[in-house]
This record gives sequence, C-alpha cells and structure tokens, in this order.
Amino acid sequence: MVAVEQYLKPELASQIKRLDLRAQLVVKGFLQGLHASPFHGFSVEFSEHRRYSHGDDPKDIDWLAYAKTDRYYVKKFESETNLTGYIMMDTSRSMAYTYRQQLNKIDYCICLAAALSYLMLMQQDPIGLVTFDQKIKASIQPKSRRSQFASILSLLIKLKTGGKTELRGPIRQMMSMLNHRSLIMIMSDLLTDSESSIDAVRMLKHAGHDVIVFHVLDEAEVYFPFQGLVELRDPETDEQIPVNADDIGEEYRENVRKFREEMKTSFSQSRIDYVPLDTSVPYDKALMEYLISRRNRF
Amino acid sequence: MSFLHISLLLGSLAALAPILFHMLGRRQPKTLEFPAIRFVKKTAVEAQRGWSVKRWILLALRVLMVLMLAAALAAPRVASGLFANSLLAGLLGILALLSSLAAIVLWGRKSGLAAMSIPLVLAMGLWTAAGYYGLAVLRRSSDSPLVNQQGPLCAAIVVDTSPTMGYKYLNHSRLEDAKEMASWLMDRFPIGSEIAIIGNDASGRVNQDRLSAERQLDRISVEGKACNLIDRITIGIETVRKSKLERREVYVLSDMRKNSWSNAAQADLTTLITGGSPSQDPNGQTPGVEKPPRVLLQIIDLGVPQQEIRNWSLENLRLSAESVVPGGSVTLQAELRALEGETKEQLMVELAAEPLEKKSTVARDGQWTIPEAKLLDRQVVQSNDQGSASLQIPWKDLSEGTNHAVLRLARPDPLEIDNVYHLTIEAREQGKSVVLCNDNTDAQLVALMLDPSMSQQQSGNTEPASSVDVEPGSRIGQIDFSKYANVVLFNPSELTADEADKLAGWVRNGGGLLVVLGPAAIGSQAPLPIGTSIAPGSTLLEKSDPGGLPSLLPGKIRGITKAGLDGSVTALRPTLTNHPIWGIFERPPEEIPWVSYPVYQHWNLVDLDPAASVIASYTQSELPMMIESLRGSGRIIVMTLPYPEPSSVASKAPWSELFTTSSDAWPGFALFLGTVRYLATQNKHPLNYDVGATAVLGNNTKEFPRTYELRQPGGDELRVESEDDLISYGFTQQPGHYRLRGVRARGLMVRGFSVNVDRKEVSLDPVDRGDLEKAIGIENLLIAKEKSEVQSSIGEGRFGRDLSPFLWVILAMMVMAEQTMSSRFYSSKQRGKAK
Repeated sequence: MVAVEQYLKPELASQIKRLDLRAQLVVKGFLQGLHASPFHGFSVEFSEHRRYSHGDDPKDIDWLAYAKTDRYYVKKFESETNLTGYIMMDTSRSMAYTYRQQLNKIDYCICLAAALSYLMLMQQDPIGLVTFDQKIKASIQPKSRRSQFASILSLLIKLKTGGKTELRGPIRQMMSMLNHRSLIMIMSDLLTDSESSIDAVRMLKHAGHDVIVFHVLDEAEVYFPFQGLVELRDPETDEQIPVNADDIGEEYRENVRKFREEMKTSFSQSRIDYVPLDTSVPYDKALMEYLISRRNRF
Repeated sequence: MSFLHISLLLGSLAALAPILFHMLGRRQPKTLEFPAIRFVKKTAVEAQRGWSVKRWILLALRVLMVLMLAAALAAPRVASGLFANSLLAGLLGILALLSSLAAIVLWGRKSGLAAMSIPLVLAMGLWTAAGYYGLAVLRRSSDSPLVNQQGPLCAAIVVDTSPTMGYKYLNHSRLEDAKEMASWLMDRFPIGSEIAIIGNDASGRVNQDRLSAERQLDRISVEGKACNLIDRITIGIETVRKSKLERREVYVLSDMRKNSWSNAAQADLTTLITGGSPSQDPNGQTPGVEKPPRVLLQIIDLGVPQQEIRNWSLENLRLSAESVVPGGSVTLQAELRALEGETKEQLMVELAAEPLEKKSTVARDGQWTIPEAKLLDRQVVQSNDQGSASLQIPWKDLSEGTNHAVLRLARPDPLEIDNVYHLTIEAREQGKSVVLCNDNTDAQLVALMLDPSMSQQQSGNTEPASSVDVEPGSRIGQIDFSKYANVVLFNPSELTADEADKLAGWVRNGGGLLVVLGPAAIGSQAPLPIGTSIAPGSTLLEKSDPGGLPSLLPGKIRGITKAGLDGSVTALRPTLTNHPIWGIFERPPEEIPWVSYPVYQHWNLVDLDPAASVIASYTQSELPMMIESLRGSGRIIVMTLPYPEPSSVASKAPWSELFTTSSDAWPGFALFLGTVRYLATQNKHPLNYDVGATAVLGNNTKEFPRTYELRQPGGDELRVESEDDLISYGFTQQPGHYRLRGVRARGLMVRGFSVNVDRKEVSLDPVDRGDLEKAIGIENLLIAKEKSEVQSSIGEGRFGRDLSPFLWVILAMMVMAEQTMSSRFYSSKQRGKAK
C-alpha cells in the first residue's frame, strides 16, 4: 500500500486502501438484497417443493415427501455455483487516462475487479486475475479460498499501465490456460482494432466460456468536453492531431456512440454480455445495475 | 467625404493590432493526451482546414471591426446619396461575403443547422441589402432608410403664387395642392427644424416653430402676376445657408409653367446650390475658408398633365373711356380665346356692376359695405373653329361717381383668374373748357355748341357760371389754364413758341387740347385766299416759328386738298372705331351716313408721328381727318377740317357740309361734342391697371380728402395719403377692385380703381426642362410629382449624409459575427450538451 500512496493522489490512494472494504460493502449489499447468485443456471441445487400438476414429469416427484404427507410434490432445483471466474484486465497505457474524473480507467477497473472478485469468493467460486496489454503480463490462478481475495487485491494495487491495447494475443494465451468452462470478465477500453477484438472475444465464447466485456471509457472519451483549439495526443502511439474541439465535438460523440452500438450488436449476436461504462458513473451503481439485469435474464 | 475631424481616422491604425496579435500572439493549441484519438481522426483534417479558413475570416472581421469603429467615431459624411449608396453597397458586399464564407465553413463541418443558420440568415440579409444599394447605384438613386434623417433641418418652402396656381384640377387648385404638400413636408421635418415659407412674402423669414410656418402658409394666395421663382429660390437658398443646422433643404412647389421660370434660361443657381468653389487668394492658394455645404433643392411639380389642360380666357379688353359724364356710357370690347384643343362652343359673358346710390352704403359704422353687383347685361357668344370669339358689351347710364363692374365668363373653367375683368369707370361732370379763337363770332358759336346755356346768359339770365369760357387767341399768355380741363384752339393762326410751350406744358399735366385747323392756319402774314389751291408739296407753316403751332401738331401740314374737283365725293370715315369719341353715338360710327356730309377741302397732315392715332380720315385722299397724340398725362386731338365753319368763309367756300344750321347736321355736331367731352372728362391717370403696376390717382387736395382708407380686394385695409396731389399705391398684387374712402367737408368721398391680371402672365405653357437644367444643373435637378417620388428624391439628393449610424449598425453586426465565429457565443450551450 505504501507504493500506492507514492504513485497516486492521496484521495485516490485512500480509496484504494478501502478497496477491500468497499468491495465487501458492494457485494454484501448486493447479496443481502438478492439472496441468490446472479450467475444462476450454472449449478443444480434444490430450491423448493411445488404441488404436482398434470403435465409435470413424474420423475420429478419427491416420493419422500409423498410418504410423509400423502401428497404429490415436485422438487424444483437451482443451479449450484461451481464456476471458475477470470478477470482479464487491460493495463495498456490508454487505461491510465482520465481527463477530469477522480478515477482513471484502470482505477475504475480495479474497483470493479475487486468487487467482482469478492462476490465470486463469497459464493465459493474460484476467481483468478489476468492482466494484459499486448500480451498477458501477470496472472493469479483461480482459487476459492478466502486468501485469494488478498492476493488479487495485492496484484491490483501494484498494477502499472504500459504498452498498447491488444486483445487477440492475450485472449489466445488465455485460452491455452483454461481447462474447463469459465466465466471470463474482460475489462478494457477496447481502443484497438475493433474487428480483431470482436473476433478474439468470440473465440472465447465459441470455446464454451461465458464472456462478459466491461467496456470502460473515460468520461472525456465519451462526451468530448474540450473547447477551442487543442492538440490531441495518443498516449499509446504518440500521434498528434490539432483540432478545434468546438467543431468536431458533435461528430466525435456520434462516432463513439456508433462504436459502442457496433460492439453491442456484435457481442449480443454471440450471446456475449457487453457492458459499456464510463468513469463518470459510480462503478458500484454500474455493477449493480448490470448484475440485476443479468439475474433477470437467467 | 468629410469627417468630424480627420485626425479621428488615425484610429484606423489600430487595425494593425489584430494583425500583430495574430502574428505575434499566435497561440499554440493546448496539447492534451487523449487515447480515443481514433474517433477524432475522421473529422480532424476537415475541421483543421475549416478552422484555418475561419481564422482568416476572424482576422479579417476583427480588422474590419477596428476600421469600422474608427470610421464611425470620425462621423463620415458624403457629398451625395449616390456616393453613399456606392459605399454602403461595397461595405455590405464585403460583410455578405464574409458571412457567406462562415456559413459555407459551418456547412462543410456539418456543425448543425442552428449554428449555420445565424451566418446564413445574416449573409442572406446582407446580400439583399447590398443588392438593394447596388441597384440604387445603378438607378442613380439612393433611398437610404438607415441614413440619419432625424436631425433637425432648415428648410425653405418656396411656393409659386403665379396666376396659373389657381388652376383647379380634381376640385383642388394648384395652390391648395401646394399647401397640402407643404404641410405634408412639414409633418416629415424632425422636431426642432427651422422652416421659411417663401410665397407672397419673399422676405425669407425663418419660423422656429411649425405653427408659425402653418400660419404663414395659410396666408399665401394666388397673385395676379407670375412670380419669379428663380429669385425666390435664391432667397430660399440664402436663407437656409444662414442657418446653423447642418441639413439645409429648399422645396419648390410649382405648377411648372413657363412664366414662373421666365428667367431660368439666364439664371445660374448651380454655384449657389453646390456652395461654389472655395475662394482663392491672388496667389492661387486656397485659403482655409471652408466650402459652404450643398443645399438640397427639391422641385415638386404640381402641374396638371398638359393633355388635360382646358382653359377659356377673356382677354384684350378695351374700354371706350375710363371716365364719362354722368349718364354716359362706355363700350367694353373683349375677346374670348380657348386653349388649343377646345371645340367650338357657345359661351356666355356677363357684365355685373355695383350700383351707386346717392347715400353711399360703402361705409356704415366704420365697416366697409360692398354693394352687391347686379347683372347689367348678358351676351351669348359663339366661338369659331379656332376657339375664339369677340364680344362688345355696352355699359350704359353710369351714375355719377366711381363705378365698379365685373365682366366675366359665365361658365365653369378650371382657371378662373383669366375669366374676369374688374372695371372701374368714373362718371363725373366734364371739366371746364375754354375756347381760344381770334374771331369772336366763331368763338361764341363754338361755346354755344358746347354749352347751350350760354345763350341764356347772353340774354341776361342769372344762371350759374357757364362751363365754357371764351378767350381771344392773343391772350394765351395770360390765361390760367389750370382751371380748365379742355382747351379748344379754334382756327388758330400763328402761335409764339412761348404760347405753344405753355399749352404743351398744360397738356402734359393732363389737359385735353383740341386743335381745329381752319383757314387762319396759314399764318397771319399770308392769309389763305379763299378758293386758292395750295400747290402740293409746299408747306404753309414752314415760314412760321417751328416752336409755335407746328410743335402742337403730330405731323406736318402740307397744303390743302381740294376735294370733289373730279366729281367724286370725299367724306369722313371713322378709322379707330373703338375710340371713346364715337361713344356718343348710339350706333357704331361706321354706320353713320358720313357720305351725306361731303368734305370740300381739308388740310393735308403728313409725316405723322408713329405714336399718333388716326381716329378718322377722308375717304378719297386717305389723309387723316382727326388725329390723337398723347403728351405726358394729357392728349391733343387735331382736326384737319374746321368745325364749325369759320364765319369768315362759311358762305363763300365751305370746307364741308358737316356744319349746317339744320338739324340734319347732327353727326358733325355729335362728333365735335363727343371730342370735347372726351377731352374734358379724361382722367389724368388711368383707373384700370395691370397687376403689379403702381396705381396713381389725381387728388387735388383743395377738393378731395388728403388721406384715404384703402381696401384691397382681399379685405385688408390700410391708410394712404395724398402727396403732391397724387395718391400712389404700388402693392397691386391681387386683381380686383381697390376702394378708397376719405372724408371731406362735403361728406364721404369714395373713389377707387381696378387691377386686372395681364393675360400675358397667365400662360399655361410648360417650362422648358432644358432651361431648368441650365439654371439648376442636371445633377442638382430633382423634380418629383408624387409624394413617394419626393421621399425617394429627398433620399437621393440629401446632402451631407451622415454615415456613422449605418457604420454603427454594421459594427454591431460584425461584433455578433465575430462572437459567433469565435465560438464564444454558443460555448455555454455546447458545454451543457457535453454534460
């Protein structure tokens, strides 16, 4: 944590210090409200009894209950959590960007990853972490032990950004590491070739994994709040473009909207969850909204 | 172009500031890290190009703004509306170009309709305005609503008061239209304007308030004489030039008839209008004297279209006499004439006279009571194909005193001023006559003819003193002629130069002399033998004193013509048939049977003075029988035939059959009597004048009052005083009867005279535009007919046009454009969207 305080603003450092607590608060609040895993459908566990009615499969009749009550009851089952989760976090240089928000994209993703890790571990699900830019840079193997959360937090806090964004290579590497069906949660700004990114994510899906893409952009990247003559420089390529922000703002926003729309369409065709986020939306709120919508779908 | 102060233009140097700021303080764009640059790339290049154009437009706008500010503060004025329009068209064109470029740039960048609509609408408006002014330049007009016309001005409204301004068209006279137009103009003058009304009163007095000007305008009336508009315009220009107000305008309201602009061809107002060139000192150096500003001269044509003009005119009035004996009559002769285009028509002419009562009703309780004119005669006249007709109306039985009458055309006519004649005839007892004759018998006979009461006096009756005295010719030197109105010099022999001078002097003072040449005229030295024929060519009086009798004659006597030697009959033939002498006859003089009264011999009067009028002549020889010549205020009539026959020759060799003792000889008697009456009743001064002439009335203060109240036709009254036994009155601008009343010992004395419009002044011929162009200058000549044309024309010709209000408007538009282009105008909105 000392290192964190050295490199980050005090208010942000204090945020990260409390990351574990925040993750707990978010997840607990979520669990207390739901009493069920949002990852419904992955396990088979008794849920409730229901009176038998015509059309029900006779195999589902609970004969033990019949013996006790002399009535036919049907057993309802719920999926049991036994899912390995991976968080793939983009640590390319662009992820360190923010214009005027307290959290840059990587910090936002760290918070998000911490909360999801905690959620998984609370459900006894193993969770692992993979960081990447053009290739995988670090990884923690999935485990469901309580100590796993500390390990994940430790890596998250030490994260450094660098390199260019690239999904295809890291996903190929990732696929070779996976032995069975897993839940892959990708957190990236996707500021790379969109076609190859989509293809790479689709490969994961086709391999039988469940994939959730958290597309995190900075508020400035979504709304382009600049004015007047500015020179924009890409931190990953160092390319510079002088523009009059007032003139291109409208069109820029339209371009971003179209890009997100394209991503959403492409991913939903492959039943991949696409979660567009920007750093101006509180991550807990964003996470909760997503999980609720996911639970409703299953 | 002029400025408030030329040094203020130095402010335009500040236009360098935006350029310097642009060059030196060119701000490098702020560099920002931005990973999502891929979304920018698509539009950045285009935007960059647009931004570059926009920067140059902005720079140009800012430079123009500074220049405009400097120009507006310097308050530029231009010398003509045309130049102002050229400037405005240019300026608006530049601004429209800039706005269009801005709109194109915004459209290219797809910045949205809202952002683009501002410069687009602005550009459209500016192009429209630039086009409007451009067209105005092409049309050489410059209606400029943006020009400041609200400042007070000094205006002179010159109103034509010529007789033709009384022409009625669409139930309005030209003068009424002129007044209405003047009011309309004054309504448009800004508050605080100074207005001079130049009409009948051409003094050029400036009214500081509208009400005074309105009152002055109301008092304007049509005059009987064509006014001189060039003089009035000169007064108007000089009046407005004296004003301290910047805008100076002269409006001329006229029906544009030739008479009002009669001296336009010779006049040159150009220098006066433009202010002329600055005076130069002898070295050719222009001193620091500022050139006087131009004056806007706007002529408003109120004339009726020439093809619609209709007019009948009663003209060429001739009176047989202006004074007659009471009960006498005068003959009025006149002509009716139509303007070209009138058809053959029946017209009625009326003579209406004011009755004269014994107890005058002219003044009651100090107020004038004008007796109502009663119709005396009415005559229907048929005009010929040329639209003219002659008429003759007698005015009979005139009462003693000053008689006023009106001869008028009883027919509606657009221009009435030339349809009427105002007449004044005096009827009074004829003045006293004296017969100068060396032969007492002849003298008594003549006196008896003139005053039959003489016979009663001779018979011892105690009648009042006779109206005729008899004196021998030798007493001319001793006679006081001033008490006589008429002298009959009967059968004179030689006169001395002094005697002739005395008589001539008396005639010049208004006397009427009748010279009846008889056998004694040959001279005392060589009386003419009875029956002697004088060889033609010899001058009988050549040997006599040339300053004597010949000086009273209008020609030279060359012998006697013996008539009837060849068997032919020579008789008298009236020549000047409308002469008042013939008024004694009831019928026209040519109808008198003169041939029944042959003439046997007569004096030959040749080499006549061209100014002399031959009243009657002889049928055979065509030589004059009766000649009238004017001398000063008086007149001399010479008869080349003795009448009556001198007693010395009557029975031996009669001169004619005109005089016999029988009652058949009435024509000769009437002619002689008429001649003496004419001479004895003639006024020294006429009673009927043309407008503008100085009316003079003799006023012997021994008989007449010294002072009179004079009442003008319009009703104005004033006091006139006799001076040197004369009453002179020169302000006869209005036609009509001028009445005088004064008090004398015997009671109220009422006199008068008439003033008529000289028909030469009533010409409906339009003025030649070439003359106007010459007088005023083509570039200064602004003629409008309608109010809309006046408005447009005022804009076109308004001088000293202040451009600063317009420049301020342009500056405000430029500031808005600059704000829009520099994106400051919409920044908050865009921020709102971003959030």
